[in-house]
Amino acid sequence: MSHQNDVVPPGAVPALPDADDAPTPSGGHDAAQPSRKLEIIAASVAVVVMTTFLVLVLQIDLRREADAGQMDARFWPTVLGGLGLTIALWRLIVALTQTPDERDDLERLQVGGVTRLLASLALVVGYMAIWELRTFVMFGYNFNLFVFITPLLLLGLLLIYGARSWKALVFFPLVSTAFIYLLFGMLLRIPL
Amino acid sequence: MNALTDGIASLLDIQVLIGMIMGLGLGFLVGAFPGITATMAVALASGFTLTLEPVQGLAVLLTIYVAANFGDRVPAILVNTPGTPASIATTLDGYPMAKQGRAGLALTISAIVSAIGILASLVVFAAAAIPIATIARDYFKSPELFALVVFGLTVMISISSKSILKGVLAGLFGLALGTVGVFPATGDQRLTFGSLDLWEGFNFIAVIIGLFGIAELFDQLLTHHKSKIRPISSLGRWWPNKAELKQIRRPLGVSGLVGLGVGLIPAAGGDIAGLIGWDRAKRISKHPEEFGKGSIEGITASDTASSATLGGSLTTTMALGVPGDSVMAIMIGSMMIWGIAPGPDLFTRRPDLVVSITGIMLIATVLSLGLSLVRMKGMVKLLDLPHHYLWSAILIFCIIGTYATTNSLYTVGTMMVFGVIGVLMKRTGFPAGPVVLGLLLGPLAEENLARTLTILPTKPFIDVISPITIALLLLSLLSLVLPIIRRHRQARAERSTTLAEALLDRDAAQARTPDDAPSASKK
Repeated sequence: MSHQNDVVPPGAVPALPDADDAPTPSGGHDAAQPSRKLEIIAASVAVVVMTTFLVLVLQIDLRREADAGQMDARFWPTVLGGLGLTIALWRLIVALTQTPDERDDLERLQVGGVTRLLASLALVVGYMAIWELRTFVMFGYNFNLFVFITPLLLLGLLLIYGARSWKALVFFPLVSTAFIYLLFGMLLRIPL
Repeated sequence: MNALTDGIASLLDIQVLIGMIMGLGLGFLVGAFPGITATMAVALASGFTLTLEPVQGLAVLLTIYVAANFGDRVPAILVNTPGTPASIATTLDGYPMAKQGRAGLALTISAIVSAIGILASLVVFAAAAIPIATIARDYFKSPELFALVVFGLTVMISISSKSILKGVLAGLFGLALGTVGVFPATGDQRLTFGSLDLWEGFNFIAVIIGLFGIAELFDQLLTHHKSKIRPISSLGRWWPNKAELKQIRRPLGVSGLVGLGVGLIPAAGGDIAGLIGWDRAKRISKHPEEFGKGSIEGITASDTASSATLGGSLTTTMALGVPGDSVMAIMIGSMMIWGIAPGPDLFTRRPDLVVSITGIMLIATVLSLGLSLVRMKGMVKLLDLPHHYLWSAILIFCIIGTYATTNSLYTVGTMMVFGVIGVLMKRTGFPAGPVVLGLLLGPLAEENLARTLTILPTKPFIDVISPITIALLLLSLLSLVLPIIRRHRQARAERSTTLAEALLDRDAAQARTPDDAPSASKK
């Protein structure tokens, strides 16, 4: 039996050859398609990353040269960079010349998925930027920003993820923030 | 006091019990939600356990590890979707049993055999951990330790990667990340760009929460769609009768041995053992035709084998310092932060830890079995929990958990960056496991390679590079080369099959032509 149409959930490993005749789980799986373009882009990025690493490693300032037969700070990273660049180039050749890898262990991207991800990222980055300020002063009092912005972050995330009921949008953010503040801020004394 | 009483005494602590109860709840929850793995939960929890005493922290992390192994069977049986990769093989017979109205029976048998598998593996751990560690301590010097790191890394690459080249690149990326920071031998700064935050390298907890927690969450955000499959609500009878209990004996024994063996292989986990155990039990069964159609023997085999890996994974992790699976890689990171370095010296210096770890795993297994048998009906309702709660909670807890490790938002930023890197790697087929292992073991590999190179000119080659080193390096090479050769052979066999089929089709078409020709000409 071919594994072409095998259905494995995210994060799972593909079935072993020994279990070839095993039926496969379904669970509404919508498998991603193989993509040569994606393989080439991924291999190219690997080449760029490894080249950059190698260049940076060769510029490491040494406070003193290593004694004969000993390793200096550059040796190991240079070995890794050289090996990495070689493998990345090999992978690029494979991506250009051979059929792309099966992606049946991954689910297909869904409409709105990228927007959901980017909106979540934007919210978290904004949240971190405001949290960095730590406190604000109002009416002469010092207020902890965390307790104000965390429910707002959760509200934003819940809206992005499709929640619409008041219980989800009001109750959940407030209760979660109170729980986090009590547990981490007050019990574990983490400076939130 | 001796190791036994020391080990037991350290468990008599109310915080250990509280930690285990929290771990039990969290482990069951993550196991029951498809897509949220035990690795992700342990990564997340490791952020919160850094301030605890080692035994207290181990109680939380190990209980999550055990409980997730029980919880993940619920969706595998009721929705045909494994809660974690370890329960992939459970779906093969669990879901057909559920469709036949025997879900309750499947859940009960699964829980019982999982508990037996874990308990058997604990015997292996308790008996083998100290002897293995002693052998390793006596015979493993710097060259052997370097070779062992290379071996652990290559085994994880070969197991976790569809493409060996991608796996090797992931491993090298992890090793490269491990070079960032101050080089301890000379004090030189490597790739720190003048940032104090990078002096000690990347924060391990931030990296693993990013690669396993955030990346998994991001992938779900990208791919989530409303499932039309509803959990099976008719659970039927719960307790197996005598005839059914008799059926489980043989697959229990065979797959248990498979699980114990696979568990001792570094980086091989319950997912692989479950499938091999299911396959072996089918081969020796009197009714192999029932496998995959709701066989009690099938579900027994898959769940015993996958659970029996736990003790083996623990043994290689603690005794050799090479993670048995991805959860254990995270465990090593946490233990290093607590000041305990897993490896050959650990159990010879701290034999009480063997007792403590065995005790924690034993109690966690018994509690998980009890909870499985009592609360299964409640777990079914959890499968209906809307995703928006789950996703928001995971994200905020990942943020707070990572922040709590250093009280710095820089660490949270690191986690988010590695979350993005992780999801890109996942979508392009690069495994995250070798990255984490490379980051974790890279400094160890470099340190031991440096020592080996220093010793090498002073002694004869064969005195430094022992047969153990050569064997481990050869095994490493084989673990990378063999899958490539096997895949080439498979591809060639598939090509020749396709060619043979095409030739047969052509011959058949030619054979038909004389008969078809007149009719064609008539037209």
